[in-house]
Parts: sequence; structure tokens; C-alpha cells
Amino acid sequence: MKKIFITVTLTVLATAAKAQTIFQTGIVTAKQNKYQVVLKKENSKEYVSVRNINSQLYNARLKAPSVVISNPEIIGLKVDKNQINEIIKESLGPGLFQELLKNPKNFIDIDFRFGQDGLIKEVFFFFPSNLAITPQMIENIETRLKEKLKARFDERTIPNFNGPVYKTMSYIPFYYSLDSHSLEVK
Amino acid sequence: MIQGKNKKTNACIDWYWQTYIDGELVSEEYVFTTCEGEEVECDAIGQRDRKGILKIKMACGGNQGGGDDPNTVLLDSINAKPCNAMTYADQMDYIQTISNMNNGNCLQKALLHAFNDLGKQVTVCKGSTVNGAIAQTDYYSNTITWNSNLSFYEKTLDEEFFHNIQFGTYGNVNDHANIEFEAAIMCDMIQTSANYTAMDQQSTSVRNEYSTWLKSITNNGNSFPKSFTEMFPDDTAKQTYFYFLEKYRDQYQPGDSHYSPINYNLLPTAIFKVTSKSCN
Repeated sequence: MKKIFITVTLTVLATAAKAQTIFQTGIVTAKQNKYQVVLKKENSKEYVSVRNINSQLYNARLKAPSVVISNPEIIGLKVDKNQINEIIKESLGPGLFQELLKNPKNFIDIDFRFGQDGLIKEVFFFFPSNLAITPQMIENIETRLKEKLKARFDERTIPNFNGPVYKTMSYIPFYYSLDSHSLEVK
Repeated sequence: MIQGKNKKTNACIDWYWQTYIDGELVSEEYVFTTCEGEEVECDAIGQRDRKGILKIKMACGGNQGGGDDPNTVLLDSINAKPCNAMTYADQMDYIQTISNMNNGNCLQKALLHAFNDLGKQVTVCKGSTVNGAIAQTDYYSNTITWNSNLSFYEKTLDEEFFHNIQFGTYGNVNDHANIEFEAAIMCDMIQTSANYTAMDQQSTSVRNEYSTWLKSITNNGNSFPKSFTEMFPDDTAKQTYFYFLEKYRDQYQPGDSHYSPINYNLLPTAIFKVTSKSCN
């Protein structure tokens, strides 16, 4: 009886330790890429911000007419959110994916920077630190998103802009959050 | 009577206006093609009343005969009517947008209810807007002017309807940054966390902070603050709100319609007119 109790205690400690040590502020390495990690505390909770060390747009301000701010409809941005969900699900594995969605406080935020060709220039990740996401998972998601995802834009010529709106932008931002709402996306 | 009928072409629908006289089809005119959303069979029936105001009824799905059809959308359900000067194609576009909003999530419907509660009739017209803005509201003439070069967008219509609610709450104030930021929060709440846009022109770091904050005050998009106390339980919560208001305002340049000095005494209470409404 005593032996069983000790075993259970160690398991709990090991799990707790794993949840706290996947990411620390600094640089982590996956198979092909290195990532800058920053741990942040907001509202008394801890979050992880992850970006490829080669990124150049993380703190870059968007150069665009002010009318496009918070108006993605005028850009006519179309992104296949189901495809994003599928890529994340495949990269995390079904178990972790379900665990992520089970708790309504869990999420993975992805900040996309699309080029005018519709391809991803850069992506940045942000999620609660208690999620068991590894650097390799991040690399897999980033790689697959860049391979598979392509945004579309409204190609109509708008007189105010002398062309399609997206052509006026240095990059096209899109902020997506995978959480319990995301599977409602059709 | 004027009637619009859909004709399907693969995943797209070609819309035509058909004019009947004494039950006979006398003309048919192509209007536009829509290629998104579910494929549905829809009829759009337009009829002018004695004052010449066009009323359009959309009936989608199999049961198109009766007024009880849940897919039937009457313009009477919203106190914002398209003006007579708009083309039929624009009016159809507007009706479709309102129809989508009527079928939106709970908060979206609550916004329409709160707008109707203002008890005023707003006219929606196409025209030129200041600095090419997507849309603008004139509170005194009760008119929403939509940029004539653009389609109707749900999110921007949400914003214009909400601006009317703000006007009903605060009156005519010049604190544009406060007003626009509150409207941006309202729209982001409706969009849910899947697509926040208020900080589109900010750095990723600020976007992450904003996303985390909005999720925290909306229980991750599952419930919304219904009162001042719920949204601002303490002074820190107020400071956080104004921190993001500053970040929002900083995306614009002096002279822009969204830029103004920040009024730290103007707290966002119009939002509760929506969040406290039932969506039924």
C-alpha cells in the first residue's frame, strides 16, 4: 500500500514538471529551425510567445491606408480556417488537440503575415504555457501552413485605391485563434 | 412586382431580376453572381408600397410559401432600410447582408435588437464618403452612407449600427478614438476570438496582449460583460482598457477620423446596451 502511494506521487510530480519546462524564455531548437521564445505573464496567467528567429515582421508595423485597419472585409481576405484547424490537429496529434479544445480557456493564437501573392511570409504563435506543445510541433505547424495555406483577396479595382485594396499593403495581417469556438467554423 | 430568381451554376448562383405583368414574364435582367456560402434556393420578391418604398422579401429553402418560414427575412425586421436611389443589385446585396446578420450568433442578433430599440428609422444609401471610408453615419439625418465603390459588409454594418447605439448613449461627442475603439471591441466580440482585428496595424506583441485581454473579459468568447462592474471590477481593469485604447488610437494619424485625444472619463457603456440584450 505504501509503495503504490509513492509511485502515484512521483507520477504527479513528473507531469507537473513537464508542463512547466517545455518552454522557457530563450531560444529553442527543432529539427530545422530555431525559435525565439518569450514567457509572458498577463492577468496572472503565463503564456508562451514563439517566433522563428529569422522572422523580420514580428514588430513591424503594417504600412497601409488607415481604412483597412480592422476591416478585413474591404481586403476581401479569404483564408481556409478548416485547413488551419486540420494542420494543427495533425501536428499536435488528436489527443493533444482534443485536450486543447476541451478546456474553454485553452487556445493557440496564430498571427499570420501574408504576402500579396497569398503565401505566408511569417507566422507567430501564442498560447498558455500549460499546453504540452513542443518546439517540433511548432515547426511542423509552421512548415505545413506555409506549404498548404494560401490566402485569397478581393481582386476588384477600388477607385479610392487605384486597384485592389490588398495591393496597397506591405503585408496582409490575419489573426486566428484556435479554441473551442474554432470548430464552429464552417 | 419585381422578382429575383436564382439560377445555379455549379457552386455559384446567377441572380436575375424578372419582371411580371399580369402574371406574365416580360423581362429578365442579369444582376450579379454569388459564389459563397451554402447553396440554397432563394427567391427575392420586391414590391413598392404606395409611397414608393421598396420592400424586399427573401425566401430561402424549400418552404417559401408562408410568412412563418424561419428563412424568410423581411426588411421590416431591421430599422435600417435601403434608400430608393440604390440599384436593385445594391439593394439585393444589402438584403443578403442583413439576412446573414439575422442568422448570425447570439451577440450579433442582440446588436440588431439593440439597434431596433433605438426606435428610429435609418436610411442606408450608397454615395461618397469622407476620405473613402467604407461607411459613415449621419446621426441627425439618420442616414448611413456606404462607399458606392464597395459591397456591403456585415462587420462594417455592425459597426455603423453600433455607432447609432453609441450616439443614443453618449450624444454627439468628439472623442472619436474612444468611440471607434469601443465599436472595434464590439465587432471583435461578435467575430469571436477566431478573428480579432482591432489591432491589425499593431505589433504581434500588442495583438497577443489584446487577444488575451479580450478573451479574459469575455470568458474566451463564451459570455460578455453586461455591466460596468463586470467589465471594470477595479481600477486596474480601467487602466488596462485605456492602455489598449491608446494602442488602438496609435494606429492612426492625427487628422484621421479615428484619431482624437483620449477622453479618460468616457467609459464604454454603450456596449452593455448590446450585451445585456437577449438574442431571441
